[in-house]
Amino acid sequence: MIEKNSKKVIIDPSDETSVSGSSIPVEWLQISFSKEKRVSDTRRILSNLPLFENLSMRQWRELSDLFHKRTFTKDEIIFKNGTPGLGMYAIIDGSVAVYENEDGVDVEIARLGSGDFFGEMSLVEEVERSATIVALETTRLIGIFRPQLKDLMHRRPQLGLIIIERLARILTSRLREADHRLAMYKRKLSNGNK
Amino acid sequence: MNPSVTDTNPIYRRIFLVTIFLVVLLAFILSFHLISDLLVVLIISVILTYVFKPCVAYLEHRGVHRVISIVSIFVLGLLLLAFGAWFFVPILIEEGAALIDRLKSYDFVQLHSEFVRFLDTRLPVLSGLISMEPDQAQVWLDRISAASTTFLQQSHKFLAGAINIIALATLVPFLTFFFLKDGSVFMKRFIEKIPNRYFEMTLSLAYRIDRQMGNYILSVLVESAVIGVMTWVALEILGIKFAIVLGLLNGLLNSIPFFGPFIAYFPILLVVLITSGDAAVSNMIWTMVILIGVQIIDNVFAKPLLISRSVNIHPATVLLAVLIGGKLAGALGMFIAVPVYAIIMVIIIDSYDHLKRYKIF
Repeated sequence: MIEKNSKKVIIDPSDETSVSGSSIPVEWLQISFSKEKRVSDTRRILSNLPLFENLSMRQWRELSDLFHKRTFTKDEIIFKNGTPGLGMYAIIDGSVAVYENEDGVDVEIARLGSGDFFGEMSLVEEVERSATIVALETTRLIGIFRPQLKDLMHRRPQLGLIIIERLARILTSRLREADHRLAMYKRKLSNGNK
Repeated sequence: MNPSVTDTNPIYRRIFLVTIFLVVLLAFILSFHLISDLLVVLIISVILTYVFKPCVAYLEHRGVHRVISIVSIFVLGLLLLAFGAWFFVPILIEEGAALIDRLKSYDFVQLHSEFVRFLDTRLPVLSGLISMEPDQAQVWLDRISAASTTFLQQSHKFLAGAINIIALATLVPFLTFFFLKDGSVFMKRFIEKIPNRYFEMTLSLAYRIDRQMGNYILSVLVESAVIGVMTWVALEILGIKFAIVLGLLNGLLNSIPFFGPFIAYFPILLVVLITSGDAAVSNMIWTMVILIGVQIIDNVFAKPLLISRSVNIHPATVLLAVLIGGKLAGALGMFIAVPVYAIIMVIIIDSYDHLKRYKIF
């Protein structure tokens, strides 16, 4: 499921892995064979996301092998509406458009940029993607997927529990926001009828 | 931008599926011919990886470091192997050698006459149908004996030649260790190379196949062990000679679906007949009761518990796989043919399913 109001993460512009185009070092693009470098790279990129903040270096060592970095070119589809949801992505740099299918026509409903994340509900259960996501420019993403999260929970249940607890908190806050919005629309509707 | 999904003709899907199956089958047969030794080592390492994987995961779950978990499992495995070698191998060699001696010295013509006499008194209708002249019986028995000798010689040749024992003893633990330690890293490196369009599909498929393979291999091993031990204990209680060899045989052959148990019954009953003397008929009947009982317990209790084994494969294709396996790699090939075939089927079926679900075609 795509959350239209995905949380924006503030990324420190002084951080060399932050999102402003040319500031990202070229070596980041290369496959890092050094475990420590891979861990610190992943930590710098993801530690600002609410799901992964305040984790120890030891926990990052456990986590770093779970992430997949992908680069999408302009107009490339990241995933399609109706396909099985496998996990969530965070945007490192670039931007994406969110399309929803309304009466057979794909309508753009949102744009997401660096620091945004989407698809986190797929980490909990296999739900069909409710929208199509397309890269608007060359976009680099980092993804974490359900099978790997399950594997982590089996191998390292304490760390898995931390991630799942945070995920539950994010989803609860989304639900609260949606409830609040629904109540607001209902109020507006009933005021209009009067 | 309108990323709508295009519909495709179902005929193309079928053509795709059949083509993939044929290509995979051909590639497998060809690669087996070219690098059979290496492939056998690889297959054994993969099977061992799946056997040890749950133990390593359990230790990791208890907070033990991955490498320490793997080393501990290896040490434990070696200790078990040493204990097995110390306890079972002498018994197996002793029983096996005694059994071969008994088979060599047994008078098959006398057996035939006793069998016909038994049928004459108990089942005269059948006796007329299968009775033969003693000479004719000898010719048939010679043929069976020659066929068995050829089979055993080929198996021996394969074990001694195709798989170098030293290579097996060094390469298999080495590969198994690295598959256990870095298996997920290997998979990640492989998935990194997949184009974006197929990335999520491949990732999901890889994990599903990994899980299915693990479940299948473990369930087959556990089921075979259960059957082997049950047969051994029951035959031992009955006082049948060579019970441990017969239990091992029944357990091993049970790993071949549909036909395995029936293939096992023939040599087991033959051995019981030869070794039981005057009590041959009653021992054979009791052995048959035990074998059927073990099968019932397996089907009622063990199989439902090990439900993951249910890879939907047709009996005719199993027979074909066993024959191809036997032709390519002798006796060992016959045993690994069915798991390999089941794994190939899982890969093809799941790939097709994922291609559909991810709207690739």
